[in-house]
Amino acid sequence: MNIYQYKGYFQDYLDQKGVSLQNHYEISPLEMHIDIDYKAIIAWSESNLDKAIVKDYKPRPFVPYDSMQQAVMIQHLGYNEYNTTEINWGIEEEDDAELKYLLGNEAFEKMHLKKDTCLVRLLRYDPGHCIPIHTDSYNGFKTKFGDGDVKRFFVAVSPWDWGHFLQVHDNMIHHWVPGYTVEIPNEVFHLSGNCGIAPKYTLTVTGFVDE
Amino acid sequence: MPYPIKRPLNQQFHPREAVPSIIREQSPWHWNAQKRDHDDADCFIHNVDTIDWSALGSWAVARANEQRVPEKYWWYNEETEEVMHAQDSVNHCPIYEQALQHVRDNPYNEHNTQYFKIANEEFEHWHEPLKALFPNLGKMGISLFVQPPGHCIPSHVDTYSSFMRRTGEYPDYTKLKRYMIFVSDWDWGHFFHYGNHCLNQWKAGDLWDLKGGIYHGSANAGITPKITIHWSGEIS
Repeated sequence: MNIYQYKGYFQDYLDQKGVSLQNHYEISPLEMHIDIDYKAIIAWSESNLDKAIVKDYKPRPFVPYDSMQQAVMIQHLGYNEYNTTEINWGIEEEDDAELKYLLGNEAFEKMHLKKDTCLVRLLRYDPGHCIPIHTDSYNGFKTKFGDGDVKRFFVAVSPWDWGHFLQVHDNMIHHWVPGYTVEIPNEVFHLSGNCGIAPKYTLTVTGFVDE
Repeated sequence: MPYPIKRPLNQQFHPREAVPSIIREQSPWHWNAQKRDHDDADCFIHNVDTIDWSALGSWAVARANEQRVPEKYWWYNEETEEVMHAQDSVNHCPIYEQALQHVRDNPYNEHNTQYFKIANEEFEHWHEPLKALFPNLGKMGISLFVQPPGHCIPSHVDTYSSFMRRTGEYPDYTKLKRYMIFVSDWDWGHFFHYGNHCLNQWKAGDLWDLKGGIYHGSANAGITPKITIHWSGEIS
């Protein structure tokens, strides 16, 4: 098999990092529930469709080397705009502020994050689309606010429906209710997808830890 | 660049009405994604270790790599308004209404639903030992799917289209049976939901009795192919 046909680059990369599904990663201490009005969040997104960023998972020149490398290897496996398209809201400051308002102060307190410098993004994955295995670089956050003790959380918005899934290392997460929240630690590989018939809405909340 | 969706997304879609009424009547199911006290996991039987699944998987992947073009994918022909499974129209098949929800009303298409399929005599030397696993099945068909990363089998209820093509008969759903075995171990991004039960950490050889009428689907958001094999036929 030549270098163009070889499909094992990502697995080799995981092996080099010592990442193995044989090692269990316990996420229960990272799980929590926050009360959200998910219908209000989805309604807000639908009334602001024109402000959404539509993007697919691919190498981008402004991300760190490791993220770029992951994206290149994933593209080589067949991921493209037809199976990784994400619709997201929150990159504009006014939208970020609106999403923070919709989440409410208690959510940030529960996550122990400094609300003022948090970035909140609402993500919609339509049926047939996924975000393949990756780690987060927090690049957007760090570019804006600098380095520090940064954490990222996944917050389920729409109720779980058939075909919706989130994998955090070896934990396959499903059957969530709106407000289900889990921290996605730095360097932990994760992914998410939708093979059902209803769109999957989730939030990511990234911020400095509030000691 | 990302492409525009064809139709507005609809959160109120319910798959039940798209399933042929005869299947819903013969195989009643709860049809509630939020239901927790269900018995959808009871379809697991046991692990079958009389076949070298690793060798079968390697053989299937090698065949796919040689072939390079997946046999199967779903798409909607806008011009003829036909739901297509590869080059076959399924407008006359019982899967039609469900597939319409996928490819016309949702963004499933030929780019995110591909799989390689090996069926029956194409199994070569594997065929006889695989057939022998289920002597209770008449008019048996065997098919193996190699699902590459980035592809889904949208959630659906089995309607046995392949059985119809193979036998020329409209299925008697009360007699039909389907078994599934995972050929490869669970890996990153491999997802399979059988009703409200989500399967993971499976081992090659795990055998599932896919009882009729239960909504199920699968996806591969990982880095290795997901391989499953299915037996369909009539219970004698």
